[in-house]
Amino acid sequence: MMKLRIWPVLLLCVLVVLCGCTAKSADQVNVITSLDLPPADNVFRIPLLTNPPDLDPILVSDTTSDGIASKIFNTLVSYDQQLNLEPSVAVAMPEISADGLTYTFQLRSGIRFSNGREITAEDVKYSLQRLAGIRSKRSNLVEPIAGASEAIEMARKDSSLVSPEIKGIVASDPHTIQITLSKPYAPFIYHLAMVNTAVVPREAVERSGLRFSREPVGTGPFRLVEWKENNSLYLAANPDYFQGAPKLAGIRYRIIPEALTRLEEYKSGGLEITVVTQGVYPEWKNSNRVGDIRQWPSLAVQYYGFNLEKEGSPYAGMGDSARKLREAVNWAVDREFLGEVLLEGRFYPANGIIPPGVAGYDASRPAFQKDLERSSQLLFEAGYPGGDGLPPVDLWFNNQGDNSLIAQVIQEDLKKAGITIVLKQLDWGAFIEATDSGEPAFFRLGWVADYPDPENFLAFLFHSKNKGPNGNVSFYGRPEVDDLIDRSYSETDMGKRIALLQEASKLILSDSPWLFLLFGKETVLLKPYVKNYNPTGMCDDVAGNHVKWHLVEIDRGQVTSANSSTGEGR
Amino acid sequence: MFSYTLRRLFEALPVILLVTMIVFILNAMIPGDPGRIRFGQRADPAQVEAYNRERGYLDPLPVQYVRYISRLAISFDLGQSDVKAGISVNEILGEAFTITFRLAALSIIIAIFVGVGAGILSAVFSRTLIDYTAMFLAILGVSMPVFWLGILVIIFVAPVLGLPRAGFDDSSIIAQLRSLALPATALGLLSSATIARLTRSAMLDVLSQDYVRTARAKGLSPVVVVLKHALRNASIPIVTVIGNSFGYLLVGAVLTETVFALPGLGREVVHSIIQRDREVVTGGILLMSFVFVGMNLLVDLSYAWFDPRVRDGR
Repeated sequence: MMKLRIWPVLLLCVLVVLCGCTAKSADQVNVITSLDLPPADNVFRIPLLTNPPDLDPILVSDTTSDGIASKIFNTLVSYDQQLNLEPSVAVAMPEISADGLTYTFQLRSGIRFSNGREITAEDVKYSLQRLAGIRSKRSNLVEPIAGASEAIEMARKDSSLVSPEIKGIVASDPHTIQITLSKPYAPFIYHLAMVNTAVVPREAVERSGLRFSREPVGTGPFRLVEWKENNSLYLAANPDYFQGAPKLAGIRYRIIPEALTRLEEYKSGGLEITVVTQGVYPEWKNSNRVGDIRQWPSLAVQYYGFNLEKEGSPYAGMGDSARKLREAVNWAVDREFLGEVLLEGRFYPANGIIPPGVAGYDASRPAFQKDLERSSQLLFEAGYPGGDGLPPVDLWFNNQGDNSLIAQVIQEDLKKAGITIVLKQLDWGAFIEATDSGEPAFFRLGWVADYPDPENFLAFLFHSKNKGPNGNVSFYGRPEVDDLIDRSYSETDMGKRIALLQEASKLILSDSPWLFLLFGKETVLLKPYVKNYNPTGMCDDVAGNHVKWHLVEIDRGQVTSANSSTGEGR
Repeated sequence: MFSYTLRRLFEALPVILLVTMIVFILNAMIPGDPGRIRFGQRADPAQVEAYNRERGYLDPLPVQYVRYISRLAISFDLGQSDVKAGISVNEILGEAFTITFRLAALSIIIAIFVGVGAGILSAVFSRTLIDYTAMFLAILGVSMPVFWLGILVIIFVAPVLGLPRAGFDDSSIIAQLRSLALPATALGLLSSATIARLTRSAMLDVLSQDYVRTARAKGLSPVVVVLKHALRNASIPIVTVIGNSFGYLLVGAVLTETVFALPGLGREVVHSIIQRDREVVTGGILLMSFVFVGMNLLVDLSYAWFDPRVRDGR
């Protein structure tokens, strides 16, 4: 009898102990143990999720490779922290002819590749021409140059042409390079800030061939000295860097695919920086280590696109009913919940296509909100009162990140408005193939800026000439929008250009070709002893693609105070 | 013994050939154009076609297979990666395999010591607390997912022992052992559970046989009876399970490699599957098949060493 009675008491004791261990009042601060021990070798350690595929500038097409290559190479121009263009390899911003066609750059003298040779205008010409070759992934970047289309076509026929002659690129003397476009194209200057157009030495490319991707030689603040596939890369400081010797001895990239392992490595002092993933942010935000969190807006937008040319879809077309239907969808979704609750404050509601940080962002426009009444009214006006008669639509998305989680919440939101969507999940390759071919009627995508100009969003995603694989997978087409974008190309006055593009943006918004969702914030943990890590927001997560890495510093003076402040001593 | 080895090697050849054919055909049938994988989904069709032509992907499948198999037979050349420019599949898989091999070898050593030791103790002290404890831990080990054990080890064991949690440092033997200590322990403990259960049952079977009773009656020490007389005769099933475990460790350590960020073979192949790097996937699966066939062959040959009746064909 005693035996039977003792079990409930024991169970109660265990529960009390467990509750005592876990229950916490809302204002209680988490205590996170994180070791602040600056690396003795002055090497900054960054985690990567995957091995970078390629470091040859003409092959770089992913943010991981971009982040590493941008530390090894330099372009003619680059960005300051506010994303204004500034000269890099060029001594000053280019002289642009009155017709907007010819860009003349003077190169700085005394810049050397890490193999010791001084760079010349011929190297710039060779590097730009390589983009037209058969092995290049980014031929489109030189397409606006006079004679580039012919060079690209020639290289497609003759694969031995590694750097086909482009008549619009002229190295008039060792320090002067002149680039002539076939027609005015104002955003061209941004192409010259992309790592793909970086300057490479011909002799190193010819010696290494395809292996140049694994043995890169550039002019940047760091040079690659070791690459262990899938394990780590080591970049050593280039003491002769033309903007000043880096303060770090080197950068070590460690490839750690598992999020929890990365976090534990950061806490144990094995990394200087790490990305914040789902579940981590709230814990750190309310902890003794809140100072480690660094957050800044990223130049990206997430959206669900409608295919406007999908036959049989009630959401397709530019007619009044379809437009109202798309607008009804936009008013039915609670983006505040998505950004603040579901995604833990790492995202926030979008107010349009162009995110903050990109010229032309309209801060006065309110973010999209949930308004079921308005949604219901629009559904009624579209001819589907309460969603009656509206067929279900498949939402296609790829199986990465938080996509599935977000889709489920949106599905519930839309259901409440009388709109039924069916979730369809695919892997990235199959998904992008399907969207390019216009198969899905409704799909999830995002856009990260290549450069901080509204044209990069509007032309790629909405100009009718880019329908399909070129980027406009909503198959949106409106002559007024095309005309405004086209006029912006030849407009040399920046203010007028932006006004034209803002006008185009307003017209697109009035057609609701997307369910406009979220803008993002980059959120990372950074050790307190790291100084001068100043990100721009454009592809700057842990990789810091546009951070001035030669200025980044590990402050050894903070070691003692940092350790004592967190009660460390392991 | 030599002719037996030769015969077994000869028997393994058709298996390997069949595996190459199946793997090659299946990989070729998977959707995804290698040219688009190289230059991006939105690449210029002319550029994609030029790449596919240069790499021979436009040739009929039998032609591609014969070319692949001849390259393989002549120089064990597994081709070039479609995703990583300028690097051969041999280079990628070679590096990855050496790391996985070291991990698997260390794991199996831990598994043998722990598994065989626990199995023998369980059998000798059958139906005692030692037996129950060892078998309880073995059941726990068999049922525990390796990624979970790995995470527990990273959170709770690594800080205490000061061992690295992630990556592989090959700068010295000590650094390598330190890098592999935690993943090999996690992996080895799980394998030891299966080995312990099988060792126990094999030993119990042998310990109850007449010749063991005779050996004890002759006054031999219990250690000699157990380790020399009983263990050798119980070893065929134990060696089989150790051999198979080693094979699985060599090809199936992907979760451990991912949790501990080890650049091993499993992780490389899974990553290549996601990226649709056809040549690396084909090469990786072939390599895994060769390893498995090779391990089975070694296990078979070891039977002949342990039991002369096998090599004599009796």
